[in-house]
Amino acid sequence: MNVPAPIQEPFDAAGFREEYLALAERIRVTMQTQVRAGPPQEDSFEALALDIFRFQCAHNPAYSNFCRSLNHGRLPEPGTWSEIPSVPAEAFKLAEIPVACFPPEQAQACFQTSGTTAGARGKHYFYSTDLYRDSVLLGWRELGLPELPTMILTPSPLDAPQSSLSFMMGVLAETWSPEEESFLVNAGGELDVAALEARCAEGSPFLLLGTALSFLHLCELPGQAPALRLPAGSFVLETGGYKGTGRALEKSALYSLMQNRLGVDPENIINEYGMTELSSQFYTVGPGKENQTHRGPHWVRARVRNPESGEPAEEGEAGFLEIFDLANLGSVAALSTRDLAVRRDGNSFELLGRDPRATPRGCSLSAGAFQDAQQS
Amino acid sequence: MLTQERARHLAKAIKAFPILGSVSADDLVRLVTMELGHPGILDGFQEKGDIRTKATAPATILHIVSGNTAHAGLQSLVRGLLLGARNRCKIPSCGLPEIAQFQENLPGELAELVEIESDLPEDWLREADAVIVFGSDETVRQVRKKIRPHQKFVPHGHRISFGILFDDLSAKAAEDAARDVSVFDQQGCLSPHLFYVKAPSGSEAAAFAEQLAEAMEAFNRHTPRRALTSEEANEIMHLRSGYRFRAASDPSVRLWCSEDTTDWTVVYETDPAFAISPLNRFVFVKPLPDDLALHLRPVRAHLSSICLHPFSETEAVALSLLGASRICPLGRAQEPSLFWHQDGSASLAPLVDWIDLG
Repeated sequence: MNVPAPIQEPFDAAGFREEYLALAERIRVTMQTQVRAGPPQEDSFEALALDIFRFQCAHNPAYSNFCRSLNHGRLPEPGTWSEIPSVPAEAFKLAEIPVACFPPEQAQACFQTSGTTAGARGKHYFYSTDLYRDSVLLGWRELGLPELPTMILTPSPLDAPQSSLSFMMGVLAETWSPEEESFLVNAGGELDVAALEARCAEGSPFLLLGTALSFLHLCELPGQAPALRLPAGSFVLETGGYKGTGRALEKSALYSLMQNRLGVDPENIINEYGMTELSSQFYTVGPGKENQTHRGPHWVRARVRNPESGEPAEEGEAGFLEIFDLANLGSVAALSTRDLAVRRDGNSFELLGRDPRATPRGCSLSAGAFQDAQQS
Repeated sequence: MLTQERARHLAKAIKAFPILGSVSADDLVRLVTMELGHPGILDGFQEKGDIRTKATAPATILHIVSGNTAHAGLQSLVRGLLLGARNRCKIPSCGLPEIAQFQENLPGELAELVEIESDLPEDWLREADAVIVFGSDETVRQVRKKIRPHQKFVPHGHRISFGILFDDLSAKAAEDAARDVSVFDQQGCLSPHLFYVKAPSGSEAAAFAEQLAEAMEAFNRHTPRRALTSEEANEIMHLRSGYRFRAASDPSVRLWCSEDTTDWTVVYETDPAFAISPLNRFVFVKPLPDDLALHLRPVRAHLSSICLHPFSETEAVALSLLGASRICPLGRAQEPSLFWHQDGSASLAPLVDWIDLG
């Protein structure tokens, strides 16, 4: 019942860099080999997952303290990836306890969760963004997503260095549109509609990426001209919700809006599930129905736990989603999210919408309702 | 039926509902006198200054009642019946059987003044002379939009309560605190989210948190919490996990919780910021800061009760400027007096109209 007394350990810098680079190389080879070679090999995922766990425990004191606290003060010795303790995404918000295997000042990049008026922003430190870059690109290829020139409804990574989303979209832009300026939003948040219209007028298909909110704003531009219709064969990638904006729109409603206003075929709409706290992404393609399966590349695993007991849920059972991402080498590979989902096969899951029975029952103000009220 | 007679029948019906406390017919008549000025003011014209006046009850009161807080719904119905109004109760879809049970305990003439539905009929809102709503701020907002200018509107939106304990950190105090948190699974506006504890040292404050954890476990053994939705359980699981992560590296944070379930959770942390619970028996314990008023600022507009221990009028008066509308003894959070001013307002006076002679 009681959590054991905390164990404080300093960062173990000795040997960190060599170990990090060696593991990063193994992960990269696994990603590349299996993208080329076809079906993934579970044993190599397992071996890497356990080696990464040992590495993260050795170099990330907050994580090893947490793991010990879950195991009567002793470091657990998992026999399989699914026994590796996951860290709640909430932990990335603790300024005084960085979730990192290295001192934050040595980070090449630090991505932050979007700011809200209530509560701190989560910080994900990256010793190197190389693995992140590989994961974005190789994941995209493995999942057979469209390799088209890009146009992007967010600021560029230069204007938004703390945004993992801008970085991720930047990787796709560098690869598929190396010669073009893909980012359509400036540092002040202004959208260059004329540039988008001009691109539409060229007539060749492209991939338009943005947050769900940015698409909503685009579709609501006053007096929208037919010039904003995307050329046939174009794809759209939307991601994220509307939290903190006071807006809400069912996914199916957003998709019909995009179909009507931008002329995009619903079969060509991709939804991305990503988190600042991760290095890999999950995608689902097609009409905006609820209950669609999000799939990730072979170096990630999804697992679902019963929210009452914390025990693993069976395939097809609902619970909270945990993700194991081999590419999250410098922080923690095992992350637990607040999202409710149903597990499908190994690296895919079905997100659940808000449970309608979960509306507040009484007149007591809950933490969630208070936060929503502060943001609206 | 005259006020006195209604009071007599109501007091009899109330006896079957211990959560309403001990209420006599005289108490009910006294409530009328206190709020409206005369025990017979609803029955005939009474002198007031140089005029004679009579209070008239709204013909129909619509009570929109939230789930899991039978107490508030029953008290509202009792007030409506005491006034002699017709009472239409919209109960939550998850049910609130106490309202119908109360109706069954009334004599025919009063029982006929009560109607109960779980789906709000359109004409109920239109036909009501007064609308009383209990629930989330969103529910209140939705109902408010539909209120017409001539209708009286009494909203009871989201509220937060907390406790303050000075020095006497006994097992009995922990037991009282656990009861205040656990009754109604923290769904009511009188349920404390947090206890600020004044103790000689942090370790004594933390020791109280541990005692509270034991009392929460004991309460749960005899009165288990209702089953939660996945989303509610997930909120608790996630928040617990975040505190467990912190506690592992930060000695100023500690966590106690039920094993293998989300039944109850106690978090101790030295950070004095007001912490809001995800509800369902999740409570915080923190050392009492010197600048409490500053830490209450973000929730001041939502404050309801402060559960004080040990209770003394001097101390309660000193706390009365913090923004709460009620300071009550620890252990009694969920049993407000018939005479209390819910959310700081009178309960009968806002509902009546007056006819003056002279």
